Amino acid sequence: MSKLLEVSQSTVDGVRVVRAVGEVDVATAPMLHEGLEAVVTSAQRVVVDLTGVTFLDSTGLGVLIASNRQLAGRDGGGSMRLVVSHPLVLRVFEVTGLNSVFRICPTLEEALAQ
Amino acid sequence: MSTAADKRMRVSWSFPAEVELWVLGRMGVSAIAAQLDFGIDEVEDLRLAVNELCSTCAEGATAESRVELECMWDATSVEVTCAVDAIDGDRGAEVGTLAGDITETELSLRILAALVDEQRIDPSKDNVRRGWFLKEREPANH
Repeated sequence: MSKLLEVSQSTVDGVRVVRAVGEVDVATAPMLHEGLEAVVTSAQRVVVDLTGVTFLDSTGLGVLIASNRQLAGRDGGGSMRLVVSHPLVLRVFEVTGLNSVFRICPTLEEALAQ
Repeated sequence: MSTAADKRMRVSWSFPAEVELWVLGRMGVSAIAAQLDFGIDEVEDLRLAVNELCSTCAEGATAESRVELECMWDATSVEVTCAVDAIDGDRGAEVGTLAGDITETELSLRILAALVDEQRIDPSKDNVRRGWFLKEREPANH
């Protein structure tokens, strides 16, 4: 059932983009963690594109929080933006209050422009 | 699904507490809710709520642990009970802090509380942890 999530990386306009498609839960969150780990240790600006994610649970949030903290704690302080469009995924950020912790954009273009 | 308004239905699942299998519970409960004409947002809420319920109950689960998941419903509400056995209480207590004073368990409980009408997680007893929630259908969908 690991095919429930696919994670890919690319560079767009000099910004590292990690794109996840599928469901992020306790079983697949390690894949997201793996995809983010390499990026947050080397890039200054990271965009995590979650527009293809239809399910995100507390484990997935935990991965994003840890990566964001790791990026912000680097020398010079990196920045992470999330792209979220699915209502359930947005709701998870809202009910946990994490929508005020993360910079969330509705489209990849907006996240890259900031 | 032939559910008369006054008829209470019940389905249960039993499976090893392996994270790859939790999807079965959330798929099953959301499928039931969809048949009951719950709204799309409510079905989505239930899907996530089942996941967080299992996640919280399975804290400290071992290789021997099994999940007993039960869904009861009528025309207006869905109740889900989860019990996970062979819990290692010490492991369950070792939940790291994610950000500030938020732990993954607290995130999970916060999500669960926001999605359902009533919920309860009992302290583990005899190496079994139980949790329960009730979600009532929005009046607009009755």
